[in-house]
Amino acid sequence: MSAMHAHLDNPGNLYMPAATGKSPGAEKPSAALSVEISNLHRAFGRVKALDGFSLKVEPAELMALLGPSGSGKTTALRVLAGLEMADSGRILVGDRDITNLPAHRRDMGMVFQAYSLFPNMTALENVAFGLRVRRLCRPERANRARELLDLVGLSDEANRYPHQLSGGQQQRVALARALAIKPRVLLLDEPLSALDAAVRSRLRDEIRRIQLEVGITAVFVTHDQEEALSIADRVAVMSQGRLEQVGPPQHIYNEPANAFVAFFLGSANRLQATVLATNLVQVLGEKVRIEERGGLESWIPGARVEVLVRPESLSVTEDSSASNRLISRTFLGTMLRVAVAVPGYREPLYALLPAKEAGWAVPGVFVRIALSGSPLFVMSAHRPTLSSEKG
Amino acid sequence: MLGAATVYFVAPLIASARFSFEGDHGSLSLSGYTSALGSHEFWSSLSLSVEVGLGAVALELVLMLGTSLWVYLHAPKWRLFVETLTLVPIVVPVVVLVLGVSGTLRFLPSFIVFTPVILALEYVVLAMPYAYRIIDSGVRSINLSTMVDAGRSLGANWFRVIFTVLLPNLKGALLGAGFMTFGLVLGEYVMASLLSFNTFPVWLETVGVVHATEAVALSVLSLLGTVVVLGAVAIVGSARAKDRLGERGHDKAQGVSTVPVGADQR
Repeated sequence: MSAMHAHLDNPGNLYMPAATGKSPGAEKPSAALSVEISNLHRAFGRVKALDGFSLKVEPAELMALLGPSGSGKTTALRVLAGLEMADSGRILVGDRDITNLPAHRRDMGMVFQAYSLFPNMTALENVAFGLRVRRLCRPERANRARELLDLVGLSDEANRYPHQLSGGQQQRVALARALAIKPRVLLLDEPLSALDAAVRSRLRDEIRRIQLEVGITAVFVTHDQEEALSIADRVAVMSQGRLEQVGPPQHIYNEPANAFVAFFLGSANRLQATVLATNLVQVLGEKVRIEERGGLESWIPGARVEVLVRPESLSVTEDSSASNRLISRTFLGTMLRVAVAVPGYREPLYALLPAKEAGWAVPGVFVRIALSGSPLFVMSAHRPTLSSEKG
Repeated sequence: MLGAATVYFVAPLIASARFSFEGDHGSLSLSGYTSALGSHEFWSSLSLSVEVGLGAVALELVLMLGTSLWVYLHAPKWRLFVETLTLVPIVVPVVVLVLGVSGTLRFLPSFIVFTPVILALEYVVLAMPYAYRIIDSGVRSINLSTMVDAGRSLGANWFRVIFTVLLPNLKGALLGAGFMTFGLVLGEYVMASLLSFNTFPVWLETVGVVHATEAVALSVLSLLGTVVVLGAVAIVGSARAKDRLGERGHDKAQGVSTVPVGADQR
């Protein structure tokens, strides 16, 4: 029996990755593998898609690669899958160096952004395709394919062709197909972006459920911050082919490493402040202790600086004697986002108010703004160029 | 208008059919058919045309499919150049094409240059503008690069991806290009005549000079043959469509609706 058959023929462990090719039962079900990407470089002509990208994904972890268009996240995933070759760098899966392996020998399960089911095959045949390539006998691959379709809740649709399935169902079949080969790592390249909001949310939860159930290491590429924050164990924020920050969603949101991460992940306001002493600034009339993470070289008392503050860390109250004017409101369900024009600021400041208590917040009213939470960090008053700023 | 068009196209066919059954002194006769079908040269010329046609089809499909896939997957910048290049045989006169291709391929071994293989190669060039477009439109109609990536990530090598994923999904385009090339070869006269090969059209023309009834009888047979083949293709196609509709109908009968892509959505 070949090593490939050995890991596929283990009935007791349907989803165990093809780590070592030991005989069935020799590995524990939790044999998920780590992924270590070191200093990857990949250029397309003069464009550097990956510029020294490094990342470590722990076993059974779901890592979200988050970044704006052109940040290199999809290239990183394709290099990991072997669909693109890196110019330099190294990729380890477990202890195995797969940097120079072709895609078909990497044992990576991949779900694509575009619908990728083979139109000439039924859902069952699609799921069984990878098993057919691995030369499993017909009854066995049919059984396994049915089990996987059952896992994604589509056992009744086994004999349907892709054109007879909805977009959400097609992506579920694609997920089952990727898992059927018991991949070392599951790669998801924006698998939800072609779906409508309701399906996207449901399928996102389902992907997470299945990933936890299977216990597989997964890398999920997305440009949707909400998606990344809600599904991932850790989020890696990318920009211009480099890793900006990696960490648990809450950590990245609350303690962004730099202005790019702060603006890309959620919204942030730039507030004018004055340095009083080291780690002490005055902002909106208040003295605030603050950590420096934005490239501030020295704390010179009296220096003009900027602090970044999340909208939820600003409080807005009606005050006809104030000079700040509320200029717009956006209903977000439970919250109301208001934009306030502040004298001396080029851009409005944004704040979040509970929708039920914000009946007074209509455009034109004068408001007072105060800090209700901690600022993210302080940085020099000059403006770095950001590829993505959100108000 | 439709009636006039029908008369315009059908009247000559009826007249030809009527003429093909004409015997001595205006009597009805099958002699035109029996004489033509009994001729050794008829079968040899037809056989030559079919062999050359099959060879041209095989070569055409391999070359054009390979080119289209290569352009689509690896060299999209070259698409315009390749499209323009494949149009050249349309604007170049056939005589120039024959001399050009023959001259260019003169370095090839004699078993190619002095045999019908050279004719097949000429026909590959002649059919290229049409075959390339049919195949290329088929390639563009499927999500090729994602399917290739999916196949490779599932462990299939290039050979397997092409034969189990791409070819089945390009079957329609390949059949279309193949039939078109084969039809072109069976009806082509000038190239074969210039290269002195006695293919079916060349023999038909020769026979027509002295035995007009036989030539017309064979033309009628050719036409009927074409109609039968096209009818068979249409029947097979509609049977498949019915199968698929039947599947959907069956699903609906079981209370499972067929939901179009992007509509559902569970």
